[in-house]
Amino acid sequence: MTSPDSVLIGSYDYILVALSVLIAILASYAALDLAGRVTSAQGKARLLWLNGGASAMGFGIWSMHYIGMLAFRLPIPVQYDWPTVLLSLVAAIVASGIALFVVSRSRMGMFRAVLGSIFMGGGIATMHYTGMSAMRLEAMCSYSAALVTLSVILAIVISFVALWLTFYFRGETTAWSWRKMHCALVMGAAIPVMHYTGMAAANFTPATSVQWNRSHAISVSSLSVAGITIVTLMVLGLVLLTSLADRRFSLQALELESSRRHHQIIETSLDAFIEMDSHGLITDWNAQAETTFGWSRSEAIGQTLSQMTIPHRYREAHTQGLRRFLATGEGPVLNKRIEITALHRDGTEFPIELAISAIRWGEKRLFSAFVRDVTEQKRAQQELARKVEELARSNAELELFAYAASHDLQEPLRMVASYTQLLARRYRGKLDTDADEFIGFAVDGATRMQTLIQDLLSYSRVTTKGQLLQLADAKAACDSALKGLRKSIEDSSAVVSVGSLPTVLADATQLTQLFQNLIGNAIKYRNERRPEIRVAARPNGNEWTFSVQDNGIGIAPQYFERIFQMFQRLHTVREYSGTGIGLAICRKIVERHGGRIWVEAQPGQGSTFLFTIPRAEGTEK
Amino acid sequence: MNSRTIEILLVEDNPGDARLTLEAFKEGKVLNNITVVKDGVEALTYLHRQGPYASARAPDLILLDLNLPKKDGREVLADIKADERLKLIPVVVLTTSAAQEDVARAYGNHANCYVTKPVDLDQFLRVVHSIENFWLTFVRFPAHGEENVR
Repeated sequence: MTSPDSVLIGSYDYILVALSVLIAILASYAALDLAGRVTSAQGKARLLWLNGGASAMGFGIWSMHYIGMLAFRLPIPVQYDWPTVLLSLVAAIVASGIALFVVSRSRMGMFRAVLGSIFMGGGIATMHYTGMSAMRLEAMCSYSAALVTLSVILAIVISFVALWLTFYFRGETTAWSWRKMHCALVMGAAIPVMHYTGMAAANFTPATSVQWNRSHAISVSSLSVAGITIVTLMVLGLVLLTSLADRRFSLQALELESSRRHHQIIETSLDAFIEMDSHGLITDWNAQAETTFGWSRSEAIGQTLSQMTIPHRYREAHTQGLRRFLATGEGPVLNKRIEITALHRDGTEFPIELAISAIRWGEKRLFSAFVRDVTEQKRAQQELARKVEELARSNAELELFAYAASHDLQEPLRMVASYTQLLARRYRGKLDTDADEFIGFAVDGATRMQTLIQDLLSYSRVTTKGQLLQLADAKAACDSALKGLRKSIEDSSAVVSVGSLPTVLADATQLTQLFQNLIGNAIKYRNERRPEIRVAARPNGNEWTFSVQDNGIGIAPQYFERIFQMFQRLHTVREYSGTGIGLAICRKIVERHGGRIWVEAQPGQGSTFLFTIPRAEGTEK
Repeated sequence: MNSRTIEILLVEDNPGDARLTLEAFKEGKVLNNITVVKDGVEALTYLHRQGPYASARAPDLILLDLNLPKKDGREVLADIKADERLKLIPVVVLTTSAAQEDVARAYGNHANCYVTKPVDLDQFLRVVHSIENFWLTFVRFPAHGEENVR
């Protein structure tokens, strides 16, 4: 149809090419900037930004494309069909809209990115080829299929890169950044590549026979090129300016809102908030400060803080502290919770807890403090302390009473016991059998009562006569307990094995008593078997668990608690002698050492008494 | 020495205790004469042979309780041991107190021995008999100054 030599050779106007690249860069920059605005806007504003942004961007891309088209010069006059040109503009705007929509979502996956770039690239290609078909000239236009395909692929690939970059940079909060600029340069340089590949795909051959509908054709003059350029630059510039202004306003609005919110937080705070300048004058005073100190905000602001809130005797120290801080930067009371006495408007003083922090505000130095009236807490604290003291005193009194009572009871009781015993000694068998029996009961009762009182005394001695806790060798304590029990061990032919025992923080005498009571019980409550007793200790966390295990009569579970109570016995005196104080003393000793005591046993299976004593720190090997 | 009656001064405010001690000595073998005084002041009056005790005999042994009215046994002991003549008389502290400080203080004041009264009668009797045996039978004393004079 046409010979190769008849192909029209086009040439490029390089100034216009450069202009098209510049516009592409500007449009890219606008796109990057707009993406951020669309992302951060909400509701109607978002829709507005999306539409306005898409229009401006589309217009920019279209204008780049069109100037690129105009840069292509053919040796024959070229006219353009304006409705088709308009259609290409719509395609550019739609493509931009899709792009902005995709990048402003909160997330962008690969699928969305690919889909977005196909639509966007497709839109740009559509714009390009629609724009090409708007050309009205006396020539045939044919396309190289390979180059067309390449240009479409390029459009999609470039769109993909552009989407990723835009998505990545949309979070930039500043209007201008070098990174954004670099990105815009890459994108802006890439878009014309697609365009000029598309242009290269077209071959024009002269054909006068071509009948165009030229009713809408217009020719494009240099003036209109300048017009398009100026309008484009103005639109893009306007968009960027609007974006900048919006950014500023929204930032200011945010700041204003946050400062209003902070003000409200301070105003509604249950703590009094006071702010003071470096002259010691009050600069802020919230509602609670009014309540706490009795001065209204208008009365307080501008007044000297120390005169309004600090008792006279402390004012000098306050002034000096302030002066020293301003001179040396030393503020020992700053940035921590302190308790001081404050002055109310009515002259009463009350305790407050406050934290002062110093801030620099431009040239000025300000001191702010949250103040809490702690009158109630103080009162409660004092009340508690008083109660604790009272309790400790009454407890000590009670122990002293028990000690004194049992001590003083001993004297008359000794008389009763001694003289009934003397009676028995001198007159047994000399009166009648009734007298003998009566004397017998009297002697027995008095003797038992003596034992009880002795026990009571030793029970109260655990605390009243206890020694300081010192490092004590439990093995030595156990050994001396065994020495004390030598006779009953021999009598019962008991076998006592003692494992390795640690050094603990203890009252050695009481530790001995503890072992003596437990081992003594283990021997006493034996059955027909030969008593086998094992004493051992094992570490358990931060304490030692001691155990005294026997093979005696054991204990039923329902008595596990009761046996540790004072004067509680499971057997009659006839079966097993004793007053029931031994284990109560054991418990008191163990508790005084910060431990616990309990028993594990089964009737007929022997018993294991266990007690804990905290590990003495630094003594572990 | 054993042939004559042994003089004992018992300083004890509790009549029950005093009687018990007397009863215990009554069961003993040594012939003795026990004078009971009820407080510290009376004890010193006796020892210094003042007032009603002007003609009292110097005791061979003093049994001294610690908790006494008017002047307590600790002071009485100190006074006795500070006196050139009286300090020769052996003093046995016989008290219910088992307190370490009492024991130490008594020996510090040159008590000749310190005995805590046992609660049990049989033991008390044994203790008294031991005192009797030891102090009144085996121990030798310097001859009484006044007897030399007489």
